[in-house]
Amino acid sequence: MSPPVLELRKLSRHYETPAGPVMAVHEMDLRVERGEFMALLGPSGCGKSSLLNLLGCLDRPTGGELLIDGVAVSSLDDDGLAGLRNRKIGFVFQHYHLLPRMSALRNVELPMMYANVPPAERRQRALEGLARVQLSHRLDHTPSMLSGGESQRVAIARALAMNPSLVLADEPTGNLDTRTGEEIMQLFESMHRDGTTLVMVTHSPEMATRADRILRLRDGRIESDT
Amino acid sequence: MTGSDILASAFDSLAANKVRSGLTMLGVVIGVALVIILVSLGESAKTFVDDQMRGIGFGRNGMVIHPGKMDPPIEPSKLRLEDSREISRRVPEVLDQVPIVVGSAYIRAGGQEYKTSVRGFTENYTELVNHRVESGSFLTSLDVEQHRKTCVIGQKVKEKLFAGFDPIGETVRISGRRFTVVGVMEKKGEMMGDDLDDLVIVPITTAQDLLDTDKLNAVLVWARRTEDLPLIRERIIEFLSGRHMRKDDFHFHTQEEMISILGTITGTLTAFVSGVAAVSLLVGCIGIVNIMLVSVLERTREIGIRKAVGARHRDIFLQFFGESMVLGLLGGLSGLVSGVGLAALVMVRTGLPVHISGWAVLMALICSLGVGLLAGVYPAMRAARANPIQALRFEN
Repeated sequence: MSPPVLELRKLSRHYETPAGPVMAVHEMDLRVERGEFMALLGPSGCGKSSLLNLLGCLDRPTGGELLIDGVAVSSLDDDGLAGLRNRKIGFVFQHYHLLPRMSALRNVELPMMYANVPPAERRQRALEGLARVQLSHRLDHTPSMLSGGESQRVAIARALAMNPSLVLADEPTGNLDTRTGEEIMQLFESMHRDGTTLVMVTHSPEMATRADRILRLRDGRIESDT
Repeated sequence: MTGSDILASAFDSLAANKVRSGLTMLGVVIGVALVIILVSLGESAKTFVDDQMRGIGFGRNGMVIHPGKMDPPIEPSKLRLEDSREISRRVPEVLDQVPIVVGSAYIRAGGQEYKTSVRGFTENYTELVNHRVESGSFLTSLDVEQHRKTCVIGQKVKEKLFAGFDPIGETVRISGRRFTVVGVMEKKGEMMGDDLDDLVIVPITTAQDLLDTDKLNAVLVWARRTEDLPLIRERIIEFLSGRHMRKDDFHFHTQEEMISILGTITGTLTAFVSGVAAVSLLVGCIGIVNIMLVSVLERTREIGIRKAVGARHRDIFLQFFGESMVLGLLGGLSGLVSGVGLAALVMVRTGLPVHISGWAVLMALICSLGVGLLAGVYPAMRAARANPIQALRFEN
């Protein structure tokens, strides 16, 4: 049996601040199996973002162990983490975070460039990825020419470009109107049906119900897991 | 990330800020162009001088004796025709010698009159110096011995006084005295500011009569063997000092010495201008560092995004480093083109031989690459080290 996509063993992320230590994530134990769609729910300051940064290997834990696809993150150096982000993790951010000077197509190609995918194959896969999010008519548009929903769909295509084990979404509908947000949620559901493992941060209980597992966080700890 | 990815990314981001990139490159452009222009001009001037020296053509085994000292230059007094004759007689290593008298006088023929340079030589001048008779004949030993009023005229004198007809056998008046034209010198052009076509050559003895002097302006001496030149110099000093009861009253120049003196002057100039160019390149370098640092800061979020999708330290470093290298290299190439163009233009305008220093071109290109390299390292390192979380959160 393949290892879980995510395995947390007493994972902690503490910060030292002038006002004393802050336990953003504290001794968290968690397993996320392949194909799960999990929502991280909680008020601001509950540690959602810190946990997401840890899961996305943008940050390193101060204690405990994190395994992604069975690989212990603590065993990797910075370049190893970069490789892991590149191959195993896809990010979808609230503010899209597309490169402003690049076309939609090139934004989707970006992770493949860092994975040394040959240019012709990059192009082909980016075209397919944009077709999947129904943006084949917006290939050469730069982010400033795209609507919010379109930008987020480009970001999703980019997140899926490397067929990651895990897609991390940070308030993916937070900047969108209800209708557009709904489109994005449907896209997530279709990704989930296709077997993608999804972890979505949200502060909206309503959005969280779209997931098949809801993790409520409070003060750096898991409050409930349903 | 392949090399072409790095290049494409560099060109993209430089193109996104065309004016800024252009201004940043300007320092390198000016530096490189300066190096090429100044070094090429220096070398061209040196070639020019070398050619001129060789063009007058008293050869490697030749030497000039000037009366008087070089430093301080005192009124020359002591060199006479007998001295030059004695040199041939007393110093066996000497192949031959030509005494020289130089002055100026009005020359007149067919109602035309103008002032030209009068040169007194002996009959062997054309055999020893690379300056030949085009038509007619040169002076003879009898002309010299007998103070004959014969002359050989330069091309410009011929044009001015004998436009359209053969001057050989004609009479001209030099300072009012009648001379017979026996020959016309070949066209030689200007050598070191001395127009070798605007002159009239008369026997040395006649020249002294004409200019009312018993002195010589110089004596050209040739050695049988080039390596004997220092020995000949010693002997001549010894012999002339004895005759004149005065030491150090003469100075000597060999052709190689003159070339090397001029070489020293141009060398010093070249070193100076290279310094100026180096400073300009340094300023260009600082400009690139500055702009690259601004660029790194401006694109902090971009760096965060790239890191989030899997860019390693090396990828980010190479991206910014590549930009700086492209800036340096583009600046270098633009400087190369404008430098070569301007240098060629100046050379054509001033009549210098068109010569582009390959050495300067190579140095300039290496320097511009070096500038790109030096200027790129620090900003690229800052970019590569950025923390992805903070970078993603960065607002601008």
